[in-house]
Amino acid sequence: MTRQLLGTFFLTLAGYGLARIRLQELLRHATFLEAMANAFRRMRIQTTTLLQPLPEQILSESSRKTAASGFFRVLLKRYRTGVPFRKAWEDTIRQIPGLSEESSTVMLSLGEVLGSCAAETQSDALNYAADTLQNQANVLKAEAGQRGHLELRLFPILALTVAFLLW
Amino acid sequence: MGLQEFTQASRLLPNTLATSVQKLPEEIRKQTEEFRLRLGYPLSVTVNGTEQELPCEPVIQSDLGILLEHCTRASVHTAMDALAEGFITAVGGHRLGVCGIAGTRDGKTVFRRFTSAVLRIACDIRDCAAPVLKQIPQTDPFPGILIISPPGLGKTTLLRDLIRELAHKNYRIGIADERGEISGQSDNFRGFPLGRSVDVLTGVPRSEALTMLIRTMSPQIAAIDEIGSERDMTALQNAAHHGVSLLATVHGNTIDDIHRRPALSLLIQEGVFSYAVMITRNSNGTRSYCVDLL
Repeated sequence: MTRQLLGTFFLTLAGYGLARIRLQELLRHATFLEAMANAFRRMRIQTTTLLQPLPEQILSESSRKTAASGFFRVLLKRYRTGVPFRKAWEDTIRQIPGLSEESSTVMLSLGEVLGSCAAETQSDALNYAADTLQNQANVLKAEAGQRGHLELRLFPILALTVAFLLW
Repeated sequence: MGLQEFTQASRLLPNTLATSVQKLPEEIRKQTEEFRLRLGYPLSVTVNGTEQELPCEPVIQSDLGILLEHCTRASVHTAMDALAEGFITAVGGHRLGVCGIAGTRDGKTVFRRFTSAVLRIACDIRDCAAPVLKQIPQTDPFPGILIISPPGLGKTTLLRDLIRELAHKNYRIGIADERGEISGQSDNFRGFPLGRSVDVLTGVPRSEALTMLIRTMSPQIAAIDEIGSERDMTALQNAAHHGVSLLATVHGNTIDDIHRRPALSLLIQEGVFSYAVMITRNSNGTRSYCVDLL
């Protein structure tokens, strides 16, 4: 009986844990997209008002304590090996885990413009990318609020049901 | 030319082309003046004024894009004004000239597509100005010098060494270096060593830079590269009126060419420039300097 109760407890805990991990994954991705959107907004200002060179902008973003700094660190490291910027950008994006196709497309398109066009063109592309990623982050957050909390309740119940069936 | 400058400039080329030029014999590398990239044709190098095609793959569009990326450090937006005039200065003072399909937006030239490019290797030749200075009296104030030659014969190189020699003689010198070609100074490159009494202002149009230098750094001698516009002439005239001696370069073949340009002729009449230095290329690729009293 004790073993069965313990088994039920651990199975329920596992169900809750799984739901929690899924929720955190969703929230982490939303935070990453939001951080990227904010980085693009800062880069837009640095490009248009200060005419700051792109490597300096990336260096500045990589040293910030945000969810996107890792992306910029990898990008900078790759670019410094002598790889053309567009290729470095593309490779770094393709390595982001769990990036939706929509986000990926927006960011890849941005890479075609970044550093290779007039400030105004880059500004427009950065603005569009920032807005799109922000919208996606908002959608993910809302989804996390609804689906996440539902799963937090549903997964333990399911686990409990399975445990009782196994009893 | 030096091997160091060659290597530095070749790194600006796309990797495949850089590998090709680095395979050239050392003697050729030392004498290479520029790299020329034309869409659909193999890369060529200019040695002693003569173009030589290299046995490599034809240049493709992305090669020109990568060259531009390397020269602007992936920041074309920082070089738009310079690009509108057809050339930019890369790290190390190397000059990238571009050609292609352009249009006009808000009165400025905007390139839509590049079809050819020339990367002129900046060179820092020490003591090339010594024979010139020997022929010019070191009076106080120092006499104005106008360096005259067709493009590609080393006006900027001579001007740079003149500055260095005069800085060693403790003259306080200001350089109005709009594109950073004289000093080689840029965001992440300290530039050529010119001397402790030299102040350089880059990124500001020549004529404005000259006025700013005089107002802020009070140089005894001011240096300016490739004068030509009316604004340049007015700025030079103002500088001379402030008692500043001038070192300048101008495109031309002879002194007569200069006298045919009214604004420049006026400057000579006013005594802004006392000496002219004409540069000619010898058959072995070396340069001769002919100093004349204006």
